[in-house]
Amino acid sequence: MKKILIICLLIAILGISILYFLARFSQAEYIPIENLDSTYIGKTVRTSGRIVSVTYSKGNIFLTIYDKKSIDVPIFSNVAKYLSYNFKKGQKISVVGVVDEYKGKLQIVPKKTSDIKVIE
Amino acid sequence: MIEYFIAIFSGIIFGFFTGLLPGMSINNLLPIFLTFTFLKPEMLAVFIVSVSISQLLTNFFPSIFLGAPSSETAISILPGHKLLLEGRGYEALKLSLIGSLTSIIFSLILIFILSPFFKDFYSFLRPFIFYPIFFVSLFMILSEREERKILFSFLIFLLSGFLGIVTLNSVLSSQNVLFPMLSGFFGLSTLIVSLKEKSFLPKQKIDEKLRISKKDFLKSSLLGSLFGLLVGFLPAVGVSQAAVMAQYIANLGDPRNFLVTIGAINIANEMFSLNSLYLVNNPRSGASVAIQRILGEMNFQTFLVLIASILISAGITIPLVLFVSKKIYKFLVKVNYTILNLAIIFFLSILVLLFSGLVGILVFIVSGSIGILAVELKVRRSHCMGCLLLPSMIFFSGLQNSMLEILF
Repeated sequence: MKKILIICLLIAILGISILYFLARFSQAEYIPIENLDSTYIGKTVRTSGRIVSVTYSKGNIFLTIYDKKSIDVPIFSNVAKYLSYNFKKGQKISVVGVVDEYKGKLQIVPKKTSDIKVIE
Repeated sequence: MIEYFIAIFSGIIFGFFTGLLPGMSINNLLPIFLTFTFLKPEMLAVFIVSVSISQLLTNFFPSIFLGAPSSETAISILPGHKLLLEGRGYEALKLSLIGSLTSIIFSLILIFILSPFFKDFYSFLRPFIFYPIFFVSLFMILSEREERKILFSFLIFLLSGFLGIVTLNSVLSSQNVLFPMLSGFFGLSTLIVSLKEKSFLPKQKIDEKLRISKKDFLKSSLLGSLFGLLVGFLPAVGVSQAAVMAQYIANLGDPRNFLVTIGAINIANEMFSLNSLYLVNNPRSGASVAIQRILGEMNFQTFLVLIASILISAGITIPLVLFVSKKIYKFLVKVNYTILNLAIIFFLSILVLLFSGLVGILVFIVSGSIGILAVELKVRRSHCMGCLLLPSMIFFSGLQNSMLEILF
């Protein structure tokens, strides 16, 4: 086999492994809701707050959480169907997700069930 | 009235110069534009639309001639480079640009016809979208025909796909990884293979002739417009995935047809994003998100002004890019091609470091290696699009949650 082929294959496998371990073991940065603004759009962050509104619609769960400021947490059906929590107003939750904007409002979108945890 | 023209012209000039820089996307510039509060909201929106169109169109030049793309035009390197090596780089550029221009007209017609069904379209389409992505990927791999090549292309698809899952669906996605990933697969690999083979920039035939039949041209542009619509509607489907799907679904084997389609998809995507913002107040591109923030709800009059801005921007940028490309080309042929390639690799690496940090550099090297691997194994580099197709497939199959729980 050609030398360049082996070198490229090794770089690809080694590089993907390093990236995988980086992704697996690094935590999303914690940002309090009050500090989240449009500069975070597209970034994955961790935040927490108390639930002030819960709406269930077509298998999706729409939460609004509050800690000095509020932010929406849409949990889409592909994640919501695996959640065992029964969300109630006043519960404190921690959420990891991508910051996004919908209809001019910031939201944080979790991608998997373990991104959402009820703390209190 | 005159102030709108000033906004459009300054947008075109700004978009033109930033479009010459690889990796520069309107999304990098939007935070700056949003501070331009001294401009009236409508004027700022017109300026942003003009920048985004002009930048998108200009970026085909560094993509095709230098192998140095942005995320939106990365896939055009493959057919573009093929024509460049045949001495038809100028024609490749012109095909992408004219394809974009025609798609404005097709997109307007499609918007007019489809607008009443716009709201229901997404919910109708969503359950089925897994199938075209799956079959396109399968067809792309099987089209290599020989058993050995099918196996190799599957390996490239899987490596790229896993790289995509790891970087786009984890905390690493914060690092703006799409630019280094696509530049690595299509840009870096092209540049390194050129260096290795000591290839040179062949003398280019700068004539205005397009070697494509009218029928093929219109078909490719219409197809690009339809797939641009798809990108405008569906999350997890980007311009590049749509281009690959269009290529295989419509059998666009010829690089000329493919270039027209890529040009068309890019512009159509912007048009439909604006339409989506106007109709359902749901922006689908970086520029429309910024416009929503500036204008709030958009009325019909503003929508028309923005569509007119797209038309004027494209109408001026296209001849400008063609004219300037002829001048820059004369300079490029005088430069030693090896030194030019090395300079572009260095420049791309600096931009990756600036936009995406050290993680970006690692992604750039890894995706570059996979791109070279594809070339060395003599299979098509479009299999590297597995980086977006595999994560999309997982998303639309409903398996994303389980998959991510297992991996991370």
